[in-house]
Amino acid sequence: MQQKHFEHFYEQYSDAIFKYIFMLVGNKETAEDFTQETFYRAYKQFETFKEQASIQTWLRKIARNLVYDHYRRKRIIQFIPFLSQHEQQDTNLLPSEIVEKGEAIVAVYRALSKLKLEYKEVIILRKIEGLSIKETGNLLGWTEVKVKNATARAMQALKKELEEGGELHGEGFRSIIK
Amino acid sequence: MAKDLDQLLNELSTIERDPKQKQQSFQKLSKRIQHPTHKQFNKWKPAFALVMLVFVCSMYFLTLRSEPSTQNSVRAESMMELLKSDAIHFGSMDISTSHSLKYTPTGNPFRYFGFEKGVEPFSRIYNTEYFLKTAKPINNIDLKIHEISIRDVRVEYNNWNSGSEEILFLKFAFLDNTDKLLYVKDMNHNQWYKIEGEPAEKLQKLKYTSNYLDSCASIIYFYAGIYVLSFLIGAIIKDKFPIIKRTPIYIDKKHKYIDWSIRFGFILIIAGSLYYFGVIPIAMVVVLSFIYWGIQLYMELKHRPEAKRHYLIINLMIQATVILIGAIWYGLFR
Repeated sequence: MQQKHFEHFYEQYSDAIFKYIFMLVGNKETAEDFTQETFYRAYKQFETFKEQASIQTWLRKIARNLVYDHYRRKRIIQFIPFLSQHEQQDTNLLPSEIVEKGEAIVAVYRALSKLKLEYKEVIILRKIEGLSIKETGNLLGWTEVKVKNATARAMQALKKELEEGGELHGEGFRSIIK
Repeated sequence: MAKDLDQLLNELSTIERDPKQKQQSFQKLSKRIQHPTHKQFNKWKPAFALVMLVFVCSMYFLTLRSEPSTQNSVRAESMMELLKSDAIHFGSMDISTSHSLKYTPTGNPFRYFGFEKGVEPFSRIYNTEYFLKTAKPINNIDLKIHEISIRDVRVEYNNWNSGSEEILFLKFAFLDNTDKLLYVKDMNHNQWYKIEGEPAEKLQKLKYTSNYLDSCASIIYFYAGIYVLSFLIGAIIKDKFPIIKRTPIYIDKKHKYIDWSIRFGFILIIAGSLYYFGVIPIAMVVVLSFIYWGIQLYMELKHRPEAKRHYLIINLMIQATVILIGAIWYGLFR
């Protein structure tokens, strides 16, 4: 791929990839780093791109692998006391972009971040990114039925988290989950 | 007014990316593309290949190495001279089904595979020495391979004169149409003998004597344990790296053809060896297996290290190594 084309390519897709990673990792700097790494890998392995999938799906797959690696590393770090304290502080910080959106969004974001990765991912792809069932299935390697079922279960888990996790305060929020 | 949960989630998608950071990130990316720095991983790739090569070679020499206590002490006397001597005491006996009249473990017992270890013929066939003593040397023999059953026999005996443990390699040819005649070949001296009548009938039992499964019970448990452990490790690896499940086995069609060509070549070599020599040389199986996995590992690491499939191959290699060490430990390649 030529430099000029790559610039255009980056301009076109990097925001979407950044958002996707950001929602998964909840840290702006990490998301920026992973976005850079995603595009670097995409540039290096562009020949392996098969036209059967859209370029955005392919990029998301690369980003997803990076995020999975990141979470795996974090799981290992949990066993190291000093490092785990550092990591804990990192995850407790709320991104300013979320705080600016108001209390309701913060509550949803907090609840979402407590969900298991599978649920978190399907909600991000279906509800936040607005991908179709087919696109989500392609990306996650799931059947359409599995995507539908997982979305329903994930939404229920999110509502439960909002209810039980102390994220809901007042009548206004209670109506969210109805 | 309360907002709908879907609407709130949708609002999360409106988060803006910092344009300054985006620009910086792109500049860094451009720099990386223009001046790629090789990762440390790439540096140790040749070192890894070298380690693999040394490992495979050492495995080869390990399996080829001669057995000091037996190989060096193979007797000089012929079978008949030995049997006439009173200074020997026959010990344990190993027996194996064979398909070759020429090839035996005499030259290098480590090249053999499938020896049935621990057969004690004297508990079932008494006075084996006596029956063997009736053997008459013959010069010409014409045996049709499809009309005979061949057994390789390795007898350990104590030579009280020299005070050492020595080995006698024999090849028995049992005729399918009669029990009253059989042929024995003294492999060290390339001399055929004929045994007739009652001794031949008594020795027929050798053809059926085998407690292979009993003697192998412990190694079967050992292998089953290793296999289960390796299977579980594989399952854990797949669970920890779900990407493996989503990654196709082959990188592309070319990789598929190469992989199948190697497998086909492997089968051809083994089948050819079995056909021409009547044995499967274990050293070759080990070397070929590790070469095959080595190629797979190289392809995975070169083309898609992120797919993590190489962990499964490494697991398989460790399993094979443990099995090989176990086999050497149990003395299967004697």
